[in-house]
Amino acid sequence: MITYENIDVVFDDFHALPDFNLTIGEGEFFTLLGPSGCGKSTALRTLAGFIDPTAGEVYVDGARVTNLPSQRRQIGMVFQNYALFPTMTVRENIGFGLKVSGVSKAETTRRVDEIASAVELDSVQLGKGVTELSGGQQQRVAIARALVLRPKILLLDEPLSNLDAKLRHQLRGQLKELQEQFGITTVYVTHDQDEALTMSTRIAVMNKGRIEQVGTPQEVYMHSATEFVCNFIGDANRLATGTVAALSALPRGVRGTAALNPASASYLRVERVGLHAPGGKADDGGARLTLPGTVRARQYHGVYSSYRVELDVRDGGTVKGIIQETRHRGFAPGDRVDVSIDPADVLQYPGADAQGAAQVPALTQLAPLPSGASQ
Amino acid sequence: MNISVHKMLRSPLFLVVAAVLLWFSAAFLVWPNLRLLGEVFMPNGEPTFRAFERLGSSRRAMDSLRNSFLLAIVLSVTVNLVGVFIVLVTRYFAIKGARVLYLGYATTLIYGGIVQVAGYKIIYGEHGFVTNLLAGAFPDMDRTWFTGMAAVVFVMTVAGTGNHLLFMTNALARVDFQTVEAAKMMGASTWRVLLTIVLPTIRPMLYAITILTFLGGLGALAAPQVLGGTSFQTITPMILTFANSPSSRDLAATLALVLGVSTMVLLAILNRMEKGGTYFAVSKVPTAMKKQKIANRWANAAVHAAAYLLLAVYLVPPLLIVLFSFTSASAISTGTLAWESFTLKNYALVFSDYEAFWPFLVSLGYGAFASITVVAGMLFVARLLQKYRNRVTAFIEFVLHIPWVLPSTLIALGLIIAYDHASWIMGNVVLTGTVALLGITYVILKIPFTLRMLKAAFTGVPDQLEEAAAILGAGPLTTFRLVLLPVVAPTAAAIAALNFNSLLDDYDTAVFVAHPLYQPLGIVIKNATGEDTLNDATALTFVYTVLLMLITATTMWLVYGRPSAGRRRKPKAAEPAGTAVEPVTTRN
Ligand SMILES: Nc1ncnc2c1ncn2[C@@H]1O[C@H](COP(=O)(O)OP(=O)(O)OP(=O)(O)O)[C@@H](O)[C@H]1O
Ligand SMILES: [Mg+2]
Repeated sequence: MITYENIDVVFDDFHALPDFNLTIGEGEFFTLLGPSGCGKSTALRTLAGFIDPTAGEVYVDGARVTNLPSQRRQIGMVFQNYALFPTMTVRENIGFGLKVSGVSKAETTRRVDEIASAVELDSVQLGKGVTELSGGQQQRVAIARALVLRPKILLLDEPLSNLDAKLRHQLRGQLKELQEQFGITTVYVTHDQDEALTMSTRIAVMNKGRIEQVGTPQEVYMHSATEFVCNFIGDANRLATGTVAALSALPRGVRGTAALNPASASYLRVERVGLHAPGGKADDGGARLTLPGTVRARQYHGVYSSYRVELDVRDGGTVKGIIQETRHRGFAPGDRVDVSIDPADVLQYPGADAQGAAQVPALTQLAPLPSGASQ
Repeated sequence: MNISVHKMLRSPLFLVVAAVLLWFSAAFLVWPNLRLLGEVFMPNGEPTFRAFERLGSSRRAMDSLRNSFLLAIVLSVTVNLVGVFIVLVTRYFAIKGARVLYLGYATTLIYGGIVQVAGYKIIYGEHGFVTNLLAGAFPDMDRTWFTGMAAVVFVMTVAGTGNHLLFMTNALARVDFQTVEAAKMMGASTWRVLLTIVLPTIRPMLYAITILTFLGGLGALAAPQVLGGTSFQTITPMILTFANSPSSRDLAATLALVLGVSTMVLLAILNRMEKGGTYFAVSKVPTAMKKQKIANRWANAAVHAAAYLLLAVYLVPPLLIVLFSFTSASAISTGTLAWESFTLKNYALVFSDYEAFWPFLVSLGYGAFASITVVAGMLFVARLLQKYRNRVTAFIEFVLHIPWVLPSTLIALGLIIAYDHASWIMGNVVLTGTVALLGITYVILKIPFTLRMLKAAFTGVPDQLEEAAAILGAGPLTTFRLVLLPVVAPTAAAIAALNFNSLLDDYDTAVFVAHPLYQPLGIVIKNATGEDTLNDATALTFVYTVLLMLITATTMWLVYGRPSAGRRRKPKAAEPAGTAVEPVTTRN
């Protein structure tokens, strides 16, 4: 549906997107995710036609649109601040595109009413000025305005970033529902990993203008392709050399251990760290390595607590693990605990300089998303 | 947004505006000033410094130069002293009746320029009302007591404090009050807090105001001309005298050049300082200012007394003018203001006699024409400059700021010199002596302020609005008309109103270029001050003055003073904020 082919974007002497390639399928909710300044908006705005790439082509539905002006690309867009026209009413805002393209008054009214009811704006709200609306209503106006021209693609550039946390959560759901209802191909930009994981069909994680990994939310979380992705998404422990050495010294034959390389950067997601009272349950048949340690700090989060545990093993460093606040009364700093680690959960990346080569993490298994605390 | 020259040239809208702009800048902003330079350095086609020699040997010219700098320096001190004082007593210290004080001091905002000078002369001058009263009591007194440097400094000090009221008040409001609270908690006295925390914080603003004051003194025309007497003439009145005779026009041009170069140097310094940054908004949660009590009883009493004394100084002339506008000239000159002598005849005359109304009509006409033209034109230009940022537009913007850098006297003189004969650049039309020239000059003078304000207004409009319109299919013109224009409309209206205001009582420019049959109010009012006795022409002046004050006060209130609550209902548009923030912008 959408293809970026060897796109280059250069501002003055700053190379914002070097050789950018990406394909997005029909009906996908596709998210560009990355830290601030990594070029997400640039990629999106290139697709919208606001930025002329210095090289490369953009295709939509197989047709080259690289030099087509924005309004002829059949794209709708929801801007970060919604960019609602402040001097117009809600109805005028939604009908603006129809008005400038010369659609008759009656037809405009009909189509505005239709799209307004689809996004659940009532006739009273349609008559209001846009500044009299709440943040959530403004978002719906922005979406209605973008969709009323029946575009093939909907672009959203951090539409939730200006809202408070509670509203953000609520609108996230509404946005996703609307997208599913219209079935429209959507490209979404965010730097919020939570948003990306919960809403997307697929995610492209970007860093410094380059795509680090493209995949489903599970893929990028569980099989982070690069050290950057692993660090950017979720919360991971970088394991100290002593711990990695202990892990790779586990008897062979136990699944997965063969490939652990003590020299590589090794990570373990916090929810994969098992924490037990000393001598407590020894679970799944010796597949896990158990290391004794001392709790150094506890942080209470409500749903769960996180613990920083210093491992006894030489050069073992500390690991962070979490325990859900169900009936467990938790540990206090100074308590002795056993830390258990499944070597199969360890993500490994060759040295930072060779990062580009690390297309596949050393080993992992496909597992369901962590049920607990990462959210 | 950084759009290349290449892409810019593809926009037809840009090409049209650019063509008009280029011609306009060349014909009105660049060429006249080059001609003026030519008049100074090459009067006969050969390079020479004769004009400077002639200037050096003219005692009057050299005196006027010395007097101008003296005036500028003295005013920098007096205006700052009085200005800081009135702002502090109205906004910083807890003074009883601060609101009344503020309104009283603020009369200087609606009562300035030639109107104010004429008013002072009519009241304190040789045949003035107060002088008459005094002479009745002390027959031996010098009737010309209100003449010379002291009188000029006095009048210009009162007028100059308007800048403090507008800008220092604003700066003071933006001082983070938490810093004051913190200092007091550490034991600093009110006085100490003021000297070490508050004033240093607004120091950049004070510097800026000082430079504006200095420039005002340097280029002063009306006050020294009317009140300076023979002993205290300054550069600009001298330029005017020299310009009126063809044989000394080169002297006028040379003096104007000296004035222009001094102005440019000072403005360069001012710009430097502006870039040096301000101290505002360090704190994320600024606390609103709370008025400070003066703890010492005696100091408190003294400050109160001084504040109310100043109030009287500010208020007496405009109040008397209002009073006089309702009386007959004979009643004023004899000093017998009885109840019966009050009448509405003067007003009736202005509104019924075509001849009496004519100057008013001329001023309204020029003001309306120039303020609307310049705003309409600059709307397009400001947008282009703000949107396309490259070397070409930077150069255009620079050229458009020429009227900001040069004194208006120099601009007017340049125009007269350049277009007193057929010139191909103007299509062989002679402008000097025509009705059109004053209108054109007004437009030119208002360009920098208008451009800066409109550019700021457009900068406040997020780019996303335009992109949203573009993606919905609107072309650049449609977007401009339907989306951008409504957003900046309130600012544009405010700018037009401020321009209109300042042009309405203009004297300094009109006296150089006005057509003899189309003389605006400023000139008529000035001429009335030349009369030896108070007659019915002076009474008309009072009516003009009162009407001007009314119009100006209304505009000021609409632009600055209106509470924003009344505007809730309408869909929100950008407010004309910022019109009162930047002193540099308001020059001219
Ligand atoms: N018009 C421009 N001129 C020059 N540099 C630009 C321009 N637009 C963006 N950049 C630079 O390109 C880089 C990518 O910008 P972009 O806006 O795409 O980042 P982003 O990923 O959307 O970041 P954010 O999450 O902060 O919105 C940034 O380093 C930015 O400074
Ligand atoms: Mg962005």
